[in-house]
Amino acid sequence: MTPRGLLWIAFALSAAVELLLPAAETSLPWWHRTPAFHAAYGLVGCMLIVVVAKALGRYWLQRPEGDDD
Amino acid sequence: MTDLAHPAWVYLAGALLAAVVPRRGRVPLLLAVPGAALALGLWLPEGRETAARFLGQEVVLLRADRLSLVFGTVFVIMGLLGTVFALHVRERGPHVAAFAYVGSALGVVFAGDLLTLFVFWELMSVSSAFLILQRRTAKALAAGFRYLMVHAFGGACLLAGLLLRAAAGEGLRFEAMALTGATALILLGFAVNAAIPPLSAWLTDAYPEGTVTGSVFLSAFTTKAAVYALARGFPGVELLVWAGAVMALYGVVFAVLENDIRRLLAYHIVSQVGYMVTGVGLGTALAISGTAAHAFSHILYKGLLFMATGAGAPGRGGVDARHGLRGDVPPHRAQAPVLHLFRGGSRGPPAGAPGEHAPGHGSGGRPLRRHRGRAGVPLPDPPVPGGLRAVHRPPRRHHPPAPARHRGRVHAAGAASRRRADRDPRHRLGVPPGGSAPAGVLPGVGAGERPGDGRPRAWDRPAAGGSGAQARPVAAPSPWATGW
Repeated sequence: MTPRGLLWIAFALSAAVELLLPAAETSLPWWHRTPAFHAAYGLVGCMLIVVVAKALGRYWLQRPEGDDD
Repeated sequence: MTDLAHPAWVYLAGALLAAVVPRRGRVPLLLAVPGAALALGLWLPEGRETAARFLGQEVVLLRADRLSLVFGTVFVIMGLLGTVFALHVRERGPHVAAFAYVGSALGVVFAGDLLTLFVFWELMSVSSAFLILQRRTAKALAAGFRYLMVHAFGGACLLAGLLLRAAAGEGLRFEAMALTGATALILLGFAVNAAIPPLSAWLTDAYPEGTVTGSVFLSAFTTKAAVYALARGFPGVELLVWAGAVMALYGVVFAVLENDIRRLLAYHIVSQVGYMVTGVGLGTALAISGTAAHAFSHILYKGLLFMATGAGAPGRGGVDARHGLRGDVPPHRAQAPVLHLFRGGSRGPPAGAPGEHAPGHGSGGRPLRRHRGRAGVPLPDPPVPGGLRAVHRPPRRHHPPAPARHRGRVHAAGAASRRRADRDPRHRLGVPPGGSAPAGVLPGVGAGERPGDGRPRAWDRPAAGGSGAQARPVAAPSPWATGW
């Protein structure tokens, strides 16, 4: 089993638990009790963080390659 | 006699002993000190207070309630794991500094008054600076000096705040404080150590420059002691909610953009401490419990990450997140998943990339194929059996001199001793991560009452008086509500 394989298995198990065992806490709003809501929320949130951070880096925070001033 | 029992004393006495004990007796000492402190920290009964008189003031040297016990427990666990990780280091200095650092951090979390807190706070700053300075490169010396200056500023703010508070007759007891001029200075001192932007640059500047073993300690104690201090002194201060939210986003943006893996982890500390600071700002029992639980896990997994990435970067320029290992040592099996995450699952470094083994450099010019697995991660040699024996008796291997790109070093002797200390670091990845990972699961699987289970708690009551602007929760005698 390669490390990458282990990571995929852990990822699949986490997603399956989210899908099969949604939050049962009745005090939460309905969307928190939707199956796989937190998995999808986490995935989209992380993708947004990466995309926005890369965009901030490209257009604002980072200097272009070769600029060694 | 038992009233004098304090895990900080064990570490501070250990620091003194580590300075004089000859090399032959050092390993038993290095295991005995954190072991004794761990036993003492786990044994401390809830509710114990040890007071003494100092300079006409009553000082509370030890206050073991549920909040301080959570942080104290994870500190003694991490102290043991970090020390085992550093067992192979031959110089005295890193051990003395690490013991003094862990001891003073324990002194901070168990301090019951601001004077005791300040003394340990300053000792923590000075001792931790040596964990950076002892790397002895030009960059490390500069970063360590900046680190000292920033923390001297934070300590001065804390001292000024507590003196003003004492002069106003408000006492020095360390408990929840309403925001006034004096306590704002104390809050500023805490904010420096918690790395709240714009006071966070010291962290990402200094932690990647620390020694491989020193950064493991650094990642665990300073910021988390500050989180504890904020949770103790300023729960429910709304400013912290905003500051924490800024931290969480600021840290993660720069972590995504960073390529040096230890600097990436340093930015990630800022981000994660941001969640904790937000929890403190929310100030409810659930939020404080979540903060403490997150701090507990974060200390363990961040220490684990610094162990894995530091061991893969044996003083040879760090690990570049784009290309994997920049050094020349094949990673241990335990590192492979971590490196996979940071390499984005790439199939090994591209030709000519820093991670590539150049002829005459790296593993003695051996063919690359010999060390490459299917997924591009170099395969480790067969593991060395024997638990702790393998930790402090690494197999000897040949390593060529450091390449020309590391010309920034200033002290040749220091660099040589550092290379000796960092020689073949794979052996470090056995016991410490093996203890850190399961310990990190503890808060999640712990039985007992859970936060927010509807039972009334004393600290849910609004403060009588308070700052007037908002209802703040009373200082929680036991905000840690999970009870594991």
